[in-house]
Amino acid sequence: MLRDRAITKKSFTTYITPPADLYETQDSHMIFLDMPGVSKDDLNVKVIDNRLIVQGKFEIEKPKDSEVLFNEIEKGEYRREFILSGDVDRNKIEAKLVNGVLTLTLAKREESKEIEIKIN
Amino acid sequence: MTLVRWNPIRDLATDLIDLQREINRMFDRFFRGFEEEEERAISTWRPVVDISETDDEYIVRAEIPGVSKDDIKVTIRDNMLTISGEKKQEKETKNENFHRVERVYGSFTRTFTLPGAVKVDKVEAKFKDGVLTIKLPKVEEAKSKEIEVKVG
Repeated sequence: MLRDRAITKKSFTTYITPPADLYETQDSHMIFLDMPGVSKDDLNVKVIDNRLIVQGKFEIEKPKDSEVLFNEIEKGEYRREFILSGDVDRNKIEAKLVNGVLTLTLAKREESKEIEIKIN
Repeated sequence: MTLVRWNPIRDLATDLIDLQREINRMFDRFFRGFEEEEERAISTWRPVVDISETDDEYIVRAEIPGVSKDDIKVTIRDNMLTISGEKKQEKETKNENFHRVERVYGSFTRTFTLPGAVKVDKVEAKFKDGVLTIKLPKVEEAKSKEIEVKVG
């Protein structure tokens, strides 16, 4: 399945690791990532070799002369890496961003799908 | 499910970050007039918030990813601001095998006592990319006034 490299050397200091859900269906893998504050334009999803890299920036506008009362939101950049298993078709990865949740659908390659063999 | 190698550094880092957040929260609660009602026992998760104050308004931001606009409720009663709603699991994943579930689901609620009166009819809330922003304009009396002292 997909392995995940949440903490790389870089993310240890700079990046926020978004929480992820990983699901598997018969013909695809699905990844859900909570990335609130990231708009479509600031999101970057790419595949290098067998690594799927998700990265996203978000800006929180801060009014001038404001006093901070609560400061719980982590600021910075999201980044997470997944290692694709052999059954994923690299060219059939779909990404969708709705309400701060990134949904990635990774289609499995035809040859690795489950086939039921009829018994004569 | 694949076995994921135990990574002590990651666990330690997560713990440290949690601890740091908790201490920050404690400080926030201790020093600020913006008080939060404790409702931890009821809700399973709490969206994180940033609250800032300018001369004219309070600005509340909450990270609520995965919840649609219609499932979020913002109310103000007796100077108490409540944000509540429910984060539902994605429909398409109900009957599937999961390998990892890190995101949290369920209903949430957070209530804050506003330190001063706000114009309830002028409160603006907007929701974009999983972030809720509420702007609460202060009423005139609640604005802090600076009085210059003349030294004669």
